[in-house]
Order: sequence, then structure tokens, then C-alpha cells
Amino acid sequence: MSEHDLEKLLGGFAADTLTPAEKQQLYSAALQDQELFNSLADEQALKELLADPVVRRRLLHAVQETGSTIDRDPASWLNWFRRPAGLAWAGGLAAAVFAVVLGTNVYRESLRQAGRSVAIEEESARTAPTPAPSEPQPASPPIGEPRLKAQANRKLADAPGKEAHTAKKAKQETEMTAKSNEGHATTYPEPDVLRERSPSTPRIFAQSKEDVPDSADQERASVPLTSALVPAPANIPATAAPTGQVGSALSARSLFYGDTEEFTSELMIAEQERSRSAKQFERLEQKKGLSRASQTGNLAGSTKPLGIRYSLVIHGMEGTHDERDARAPIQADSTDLMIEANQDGFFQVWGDDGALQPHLLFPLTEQDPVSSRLIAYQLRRIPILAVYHTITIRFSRMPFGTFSSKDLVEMNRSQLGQLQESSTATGASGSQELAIYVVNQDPSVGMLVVRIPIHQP
Amino acid sequence: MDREQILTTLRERILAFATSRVSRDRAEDLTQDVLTVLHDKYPTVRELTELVPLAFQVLRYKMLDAHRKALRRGEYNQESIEELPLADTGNDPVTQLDQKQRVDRLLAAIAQLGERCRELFRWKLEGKSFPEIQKLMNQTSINTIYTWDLRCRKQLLAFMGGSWK
Repeated sequence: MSEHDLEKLLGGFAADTLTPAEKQQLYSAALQDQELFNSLADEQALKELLADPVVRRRLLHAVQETGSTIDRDPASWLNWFRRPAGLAWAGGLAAAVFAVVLGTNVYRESLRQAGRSVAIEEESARTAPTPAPSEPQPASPPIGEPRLKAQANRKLADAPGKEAHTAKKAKQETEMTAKSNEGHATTYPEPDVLRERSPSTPRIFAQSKEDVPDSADQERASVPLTSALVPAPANIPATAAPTGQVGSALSARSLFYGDTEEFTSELMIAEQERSRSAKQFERLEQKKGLSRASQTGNLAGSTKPLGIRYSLVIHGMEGTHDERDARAPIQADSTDLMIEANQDGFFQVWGDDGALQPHLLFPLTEQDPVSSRLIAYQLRRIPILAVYHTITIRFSRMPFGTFSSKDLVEMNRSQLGQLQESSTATGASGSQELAIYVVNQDPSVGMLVVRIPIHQP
Repeated sequence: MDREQILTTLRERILAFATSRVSRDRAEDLTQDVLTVLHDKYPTVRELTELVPLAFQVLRYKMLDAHRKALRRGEYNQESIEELPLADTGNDPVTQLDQKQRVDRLLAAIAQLGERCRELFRWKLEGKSFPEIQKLMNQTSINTIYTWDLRCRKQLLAFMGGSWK
């Protein structure tokens, strides 16, 4: 044992607990080392103290009492945490809790994504002309069903414990919506042209009669069902994600039917970024002198994104299934544009034949009014001639003004931030419908512009 | 090492130690007094393991005695010897108070020790040797016990204010 190590025996010297060998080593070293000798001489005071049996007993009692007190003291937890083993346990426990929370979130996210019909619907639309009912879509409603019923189905799937209550509530809401739609239909009748054509026009909805309580749809339901085609879905990805898309998990269809809770959670990050530049944006608006103050206020209160659903209907196919693919040419005088919005607004339909500047197809006159009212979830049918290369739908919460060159520019660039999704459904009579959902992800945007390229024969 | 060699070496060490505490003249007197006691009163003690701790004990008593003498002589406060009380054969109140204060300080210092140090100190107070403590604390190496004890002792000394006195 080196001289340095002999210093370790000093504690034993004071307590007089050294073995004979240790004493021999320590005292021999002390005679050779003055520092060690001085240390032993200083230690003599403690040794003298500990040599007293009364003091020794008192100290022993104090040590045992302190130990038991500290065991009961909350501070002993701090001592436990200071130990390496305690720290390791605490760290491991924290990591385990974090992993469980993370795993739960991932699992919930995967369940939610599985519940969405985006990818499956796209796949079925591309691969099979008559899409087989996809298994992972139990929560996804058929295309033609009212949105409230669809939401009710989703809630039933998500919360089985609340099935009875949710189903009852959804049924009540569905009835209320049906009554509301009837009221809308009487308040805003279709133009005469459409009304005349309506009885002979085939119906594109694949939904059954009992699912469509409004009178207008019942009238159409009496017409034999035919197939409906999306003009060029191959050019449009099922969930097109132009610039400004928030997340790939967003579904245009779910947004269209007002899944605002999902939308809010997905847009949370985007909203934070948007709020930073909100003041700058308003300043810019004021500089431009646009009188959008009231409009902005209205839009700010609206959290539902603007969306439309459209499809093209081919006539003359009564009783037969249209097996043509989406690229099939559209026959002249047999095409109707079916359009439906998820909220009240105004719309225009423009046609572009490639030769001239786009011109207004609907409403029929460019005079007042230049836009037609569109009621939420009420289907409108617009006859389209096949001479046009492109059809453009403009939908806005506010009525459109007189058309100007500025609107023309806006028509070309307003498709940014819009989410598109194609959806296929099979009707009761075996008919097939391809519909396109277009939703603007930004709820504050008050206008949608949808360009529909038409394949010419 | 025989008794004479031990005493010779002890004289050198005691003188050096005393010189570091008191003046040189008094240190030489102190050393002489210690060796006289060892020579006269303990002539039979020859073992190193007995003679050295005995020397430390005598040295401490002699230093305390010299301190009290200096007090009586008024070397510190220059008070008249007439005003000082007569010496008692037992522990004087000052010594008792000093011991009581040291015990109290020691108790307070022990209370601040960690669990391991308290446990180690408890084994030592119970008279356990380091090898026994090694077994009690389930350590494979006795050097671990030595190291722990050294650290605990330094910690206790620090809590005591740097001195056992």
C-alpha cells in the first residue's frame, strides 16, 4: 500500500477499528512521513472523542435515527434520484412513457388514414371499371349519400360506444337537412332552360330514392340512370396536391363534406404560419384599396373550406352500363355538367373553344345577373356542348361582378392551393359515377376556379 | 524497529509537529515532556502499534496542558493569576463545554452526511474493522471501502469546519 493509500487508514485510526496489520503499516509510515504523522496527531482529537463510550453511543444513536428519518423524508427521493441507478430508472421510465405516447399517436394516425377512402378510391377508379367494394372503407359513405349520413357513419366507426346516440342524432340532422334542402329548392328554382330539360335529362346520382328526400332529386330519380364520366381524370391525380397543400393525408372529399375537425387538426400548423403574416396581409389589402373589410370578416368566421363537386353526364346510355374509360370522347349534345357546392354561393361556367377568349356559358347572359346562386348540397345541371376544349367553373361566396381582364388572369392562377379528388361509386342499378371533388384548403379563400379539360373525339 | 529507534523517530516527528503549532522553544519543551512520560511511565511499552498511538495521546494531553498553563499565566489575556479559579482535578467546565460543543458539531455534521457515509460511520462506531465492513457492504475490494471512508472522512471534516477540535 502506497503512502497515499495509507491516508485512507486515518478513518480507522480515529474509530480504532484498524486491524493489527493496518496499524503496523500506518504507524510505520507515520514515522517516515511527517505529513501523515501530523494528520494522525490531528485525528487524535476525534479519536479521543470517539473513545468516550457515552459519546460513541450518542453518535451511534444519532446515525441510526438520522437514517430512519431520512428514509421517511421526501428529500430521500432526491437522494434516490441523485444515484446513477435512480437516474437510469427515471430515464428509462421517461423513455418508455414517451415511446408509449408516440406509439399511440402513430397508431391513431394510421387508423385514421386507413379510414380514409382516398387511396382506395383512386385505386379502384384506375384499375377496375366497376370498383369492387373496398374493405378498408367501412367508415366511408357511398358517394351519393348525404354528407350528414356520411359523418354519422364515420362517428359510428370511430366511437362504437356512442353508436345509438350518434346514429339518432345523425338521423335527426339528416331529416332537418332534407327539409332545409326542400326549402332552398323552392326559394331558388332552376332556370327555365334547365327545368325544361330536366325531365328528359338522365340522373347521375347513384344514390337510392330513400337517401334523397328532396323533391328535385326525387323528380330526377324517376329518370333512368345512366353513367357519368369525369372528363379527364387521368390528367388529374386523385388527390391532386398543388402548391399550398397542407398535408397529403387531407382528403378533398372529406373536406367537401365538412369534416372540419379533421381539417382543423391538419391545418393547425398552417394556421400558425398564416397568423404570422396576417397583419402584413391586411396591410397589403388596405394599400390596394380593396373594399374587402366586411368580406374578410365574414370569411374569418367561416372555418369551412370552399368546395365543389362536379361530374359530367353522358346521355343516351339508358339501361346500359357505360364501360368506357374516362378518356372516352364526349358526344355532342349529350353532356351535362353536374355541379354541387358544400356551401351557399354563386357560380359561373365558362367555355373555351380554343379560338376565342373564354366566354360565359352559364348564366346565359353576361348582363345582370352574371352569376347564379348555388345552394349548398343542391345539385345543378348545366348543359354543355362538346365544342369546348376547356370548361371553367368559378364558384364564390360573393356574387361576381362584371367580367374583366383581371378576372381572366385570376381564372388562370386561382387553382393554387386547391385539393382535388376523384371518386367512384356504383349506383343501385349498377350505374357508375365518377365525380371530382375540388376543395380549397384555405378556408379564408372565398373563390374556387376549376378548369375541366374536355377530350375531343 | 526497537523501542529506542521508535522513540528517536518519534522525537523528530513530535518536535516538527509541535513547532508547526507553537513556538520553537515551547515545542522543544513539549517534546521533552512527552518523551519523559513515555520513558518514565510506560517503559514496558515496546510495540510500534502501541507506542505510537500512546505518543499521540500524551502529546495531545501535553499540548492541552500547555494551553491551560498559558491561560493561567496570562500569556493570552494578561489577566492577574489572582483572579483565576483554582485548578480542579477533574474536567474543568471549559473542557466539558468544549467536548459538548465538539459532540454537537459532530452530530450536526453526521446528519449532513450521505446514506453510505452514515452507514460506514455506523459500522465504525460499532467497532467493525474495514474487512468486516467490506463484507457488510458487499464489496469485493477493500480498497473501495478505504476510498469511501477517506471521502466520507473528508466530507465530515469539512462539515465540522476543517478541524476536529
